[in-house]
Amino acid sequence: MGSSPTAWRDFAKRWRQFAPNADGTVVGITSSFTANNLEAQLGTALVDSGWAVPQLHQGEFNQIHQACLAPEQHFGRQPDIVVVLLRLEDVFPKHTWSYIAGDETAAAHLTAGAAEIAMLAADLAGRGVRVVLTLPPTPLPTGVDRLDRRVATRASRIGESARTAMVEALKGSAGVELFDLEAVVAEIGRNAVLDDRNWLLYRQPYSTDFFHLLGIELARVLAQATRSFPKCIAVDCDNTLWGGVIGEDGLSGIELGEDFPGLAFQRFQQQLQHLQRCGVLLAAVSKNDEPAVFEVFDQHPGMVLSRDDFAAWRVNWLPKSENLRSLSDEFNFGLDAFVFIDDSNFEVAEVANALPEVTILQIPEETASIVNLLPDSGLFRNIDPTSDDLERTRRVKEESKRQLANTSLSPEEFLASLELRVEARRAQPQDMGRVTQLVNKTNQFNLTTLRRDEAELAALASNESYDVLVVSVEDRFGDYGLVGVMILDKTSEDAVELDTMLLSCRVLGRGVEFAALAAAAGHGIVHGRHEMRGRYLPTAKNGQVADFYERAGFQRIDEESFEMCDANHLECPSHIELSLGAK
Amino acid sequence: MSDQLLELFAEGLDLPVGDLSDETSPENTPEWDSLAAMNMVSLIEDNFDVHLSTREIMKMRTIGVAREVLANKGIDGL
Repeated sequence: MGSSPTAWRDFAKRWRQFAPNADGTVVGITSSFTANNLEAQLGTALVDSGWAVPQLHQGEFNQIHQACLAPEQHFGRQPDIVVVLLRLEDVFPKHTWSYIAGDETAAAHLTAGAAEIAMLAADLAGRGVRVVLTLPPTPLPTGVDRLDRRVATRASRIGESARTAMVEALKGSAGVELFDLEAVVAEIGRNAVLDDRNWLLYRQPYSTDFFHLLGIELARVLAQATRSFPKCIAVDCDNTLWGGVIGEDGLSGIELGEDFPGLAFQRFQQQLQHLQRCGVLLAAVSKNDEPAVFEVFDQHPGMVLSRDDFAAWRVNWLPKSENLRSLSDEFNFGLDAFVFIDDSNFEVAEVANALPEVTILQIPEETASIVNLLPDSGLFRNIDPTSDDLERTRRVKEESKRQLANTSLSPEEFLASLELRVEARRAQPQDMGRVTQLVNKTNQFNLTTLRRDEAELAALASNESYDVLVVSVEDRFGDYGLVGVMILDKTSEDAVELDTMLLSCRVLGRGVEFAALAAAAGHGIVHGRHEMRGRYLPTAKNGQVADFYERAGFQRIDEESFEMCDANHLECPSHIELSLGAK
Repeated sequence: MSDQLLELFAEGLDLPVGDLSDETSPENTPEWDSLAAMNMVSLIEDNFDVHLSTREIMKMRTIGVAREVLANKGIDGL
């Protein structure tokens, strides 16, 4: 991040030259300090990121509460977007100063005050206005000794507390986007950003240069949130994941490791791995022979990424645009969700030309700059590493493998190749959450559709006349986890009655249902019951199991009841390995 | 040679150079508000590579005075 001293001047001139646009997005800026300079910088930056010329309105400074409560009066018209710029030392000057000076009691005023502003912003967002709210920077009122150890510690502590209080206050309310002003200030450096003279004269705490960068960063936030994060990074290998060409330089010749230039590539790989952990799919798209690339992944000690981190491979000699198209088909999302990273001018041009919707990042010539490629792109800024997408690569890969296997083998060969393992065991206390979920959500493969809550199920599990069994399934592609529930009624002395028999549809079409039934039979036999009974209670959704018991070899007794006199006849399909857990 | 200082004020105030003279001041030019004043300081400092003290900034209430202030700092021939 940096700017030439005249960059703000260019933006200011350009802003004046744009024709006013009465249809432009109305952006209201409310700030605790003089921020009039932001208008031209933000406006021009928004135009540069593809917006039609927006209409910017600046409210009177330090009237954030009024702006949030009555935006139409404050800005003179109803805004589409409100940007709230906030510094603690402006809004709460007395308490900020006294906290920094050692008065602990001021902290509560500051955090409560910050939280109140967050809630006002949330209310505004709730009324349909898009709100970008600043998390305030470390408060350093003009005049404090910023290098004093206690001042620095207390200022950063209260800044952090206020930001945390605001984030907490916003929990559960959607629509407020956060902008961490502290991160931007710290990135450039306080000394370069703060301008005491401007604050004393005009209440503008920052240098005019800084407003240029602030405008660009805010425009990025505004532009970013209008689209989602890319879903896949398709990355080249030679001179991208490592320096050099594996086919020419060989395993020991490529640059990758703890020392520069290998270190730059290693850091780049670390960034990609982090994004993969955040749910972004990685795909290798390289013109190479596959074994050569795999050799690097499997044997090079400097590799950070492993083969498992990749959801798909396109190591071949096809045009890269063709490979990207086939990835889009395989993953089932559009090319506009792809980022393509490559060092070669030719490949970059080929993809740009054939697939203009793909976002392209080119590896810079300066090797040290590779580590800035992803951060500077801003494409993944504020991606949430704790989202439930962490398992996405694994799931996508398993599904792809299954599809692949599906097409190349006969059905019997396919089933045999799955190496299916089914385990049935008594439900443990920690299983009851999942059991409850399955009992209440499973519609299709559910013979009786008897819904029960967790307490009822727990009572059944501890009732001696009943056994609650859970079924889990694994195959060579991965673990499906706990996918089935069987509730066995042992009230009768010589028969087991299947009160509940259900399986998640994720595992159907593989014979798992017959393995589960065999497990139930085995369980009954161990408990001295050689006869089995089952019922089918039709619903709107469980038609597919109407003949389940008959297909398994049961005799129909009446409209809904079935029985099998000798449960030993129930066998597990030969392609499945069945294990019975604790009896 | 064109008048560099008038051109700079024209940029800062967003007015044609022809509208400006040494007598131009906030009193006779509504465009000369506090934002314009602040930006004029940045423009002058960037352009002439000087630092203006707050007293100098407060004194610059006409373009003519600005010219004098700069001359006192050794920037002549404007």
